[in-house]
Amino acid sequence: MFQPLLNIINYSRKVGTTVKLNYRLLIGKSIARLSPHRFYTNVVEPGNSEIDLNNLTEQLHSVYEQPLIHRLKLDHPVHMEPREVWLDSLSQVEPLRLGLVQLHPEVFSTAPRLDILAKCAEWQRWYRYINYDKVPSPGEIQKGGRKPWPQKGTGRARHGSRRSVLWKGGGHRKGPRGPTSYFYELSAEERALGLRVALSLKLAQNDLFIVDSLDIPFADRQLLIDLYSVRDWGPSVLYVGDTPESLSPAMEEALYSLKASIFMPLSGLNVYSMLKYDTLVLSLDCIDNLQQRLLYYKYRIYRNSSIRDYELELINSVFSLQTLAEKHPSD
Amino acid sequence: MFRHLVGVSSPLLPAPRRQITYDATTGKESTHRNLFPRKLTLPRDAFTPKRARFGEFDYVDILGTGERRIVDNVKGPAWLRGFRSSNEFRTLLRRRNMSSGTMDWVQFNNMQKRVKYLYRKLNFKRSHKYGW
Repeated sequence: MFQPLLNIINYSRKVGTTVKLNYRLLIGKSIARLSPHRFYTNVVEPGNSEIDLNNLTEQLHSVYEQPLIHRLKLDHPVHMEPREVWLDSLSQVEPLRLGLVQLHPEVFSTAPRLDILAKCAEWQRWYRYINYDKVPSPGEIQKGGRKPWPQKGTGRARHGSRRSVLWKGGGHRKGPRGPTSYFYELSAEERALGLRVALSLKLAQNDLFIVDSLDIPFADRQLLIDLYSVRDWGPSVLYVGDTPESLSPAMEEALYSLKASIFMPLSGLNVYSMLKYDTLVLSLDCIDNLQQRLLYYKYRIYRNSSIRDYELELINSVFSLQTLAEKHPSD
Repeated sequence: MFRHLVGVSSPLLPAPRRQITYDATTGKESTHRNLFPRKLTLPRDAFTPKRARFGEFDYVDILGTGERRIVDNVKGPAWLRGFRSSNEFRTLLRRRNMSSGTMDWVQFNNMQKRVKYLYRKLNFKRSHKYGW
């Protein structure tokens, strides 16, 4: 069980230097709770070891801080309790449960409105589509202005142009005319509801995972492949972070070589991708922003003649787009 | 099973010597030759760089800062971004207003002819119930 560490002690390297741990050492269950940023160990003289092998697990536990609980700062209806999810990390292959995350029930456990999901996915497919079919009309074809032969005298039928609808090579009267667009808009409320339904279905079907940060110890795609097989993550995985900078360069390099794993910022999240990818992995920094925005579009009210200004301000201030940091400065 | 998703490019599968058909009643391979074979094609790759990111930034006005619009996601002619009409006359007028300066004479003339024709047709010749 502790043989990997013995191997490091027996290295023929200079005492006092640091040695990089191979990620495969982290698969063992004995090393269950390592801090994600400590992948280096000191080389020590054999016999004169500072590591006490008997109480190794206790020493490792002491390195580890208290479990992290990310509490819900938004109000929720009284009859619905916040949903709780493990806070994982990508620092090792086996699941490292660092703590809990509380999720808003109206965002992550709504009713399964499959009709809204279909509507949103259909909209995403069609609103950008432009059909470029075009067939020329008789007036758009060159060489059609002159009368080909006189009206009378020749034995042939009477014609006025060589490019009319009757002729081969002529135009068409009722064909598709020019690029046509299929653009239309879905209201923000409907699209926000679609996102909420998709997130709640991902959670209900055990396809949603939350990660403290999108950091990985080595830029190695084999690490992620082992991780997927151990944790039973599907062949296609979607990583979501708050900004494009939340993705570390090592993770970016590992994802570049993987086929069906991509990263999206929070502004790129959408219903079509959540239906396409099997697992969804959210990083912790995007959870607050996501929930706040989706609830704003559920509860906001437009001006109505019967509502007064101060009432409208009160109602819209509950889930306003003011950042949580400004609202809760003490936290 | 997921070899084609894990990064290895899908190799060209060896083509079978004959197209395999199955008996409708028993479900087993039948020995009869198919006289009307269908062309064998490989399944299309669902995770090319373009298909993997389909739909990204479609909800950017909800989840973003508010600077980017949905209409910016539409790629196409400038007079059709965020515009839809089943009436060809309206699209041609919009195109004339927006991009007549960058058209060549032949293109512009054909468009003008079409605009005149449609104006007369819609306003003096045919009623709206015929779909124009």
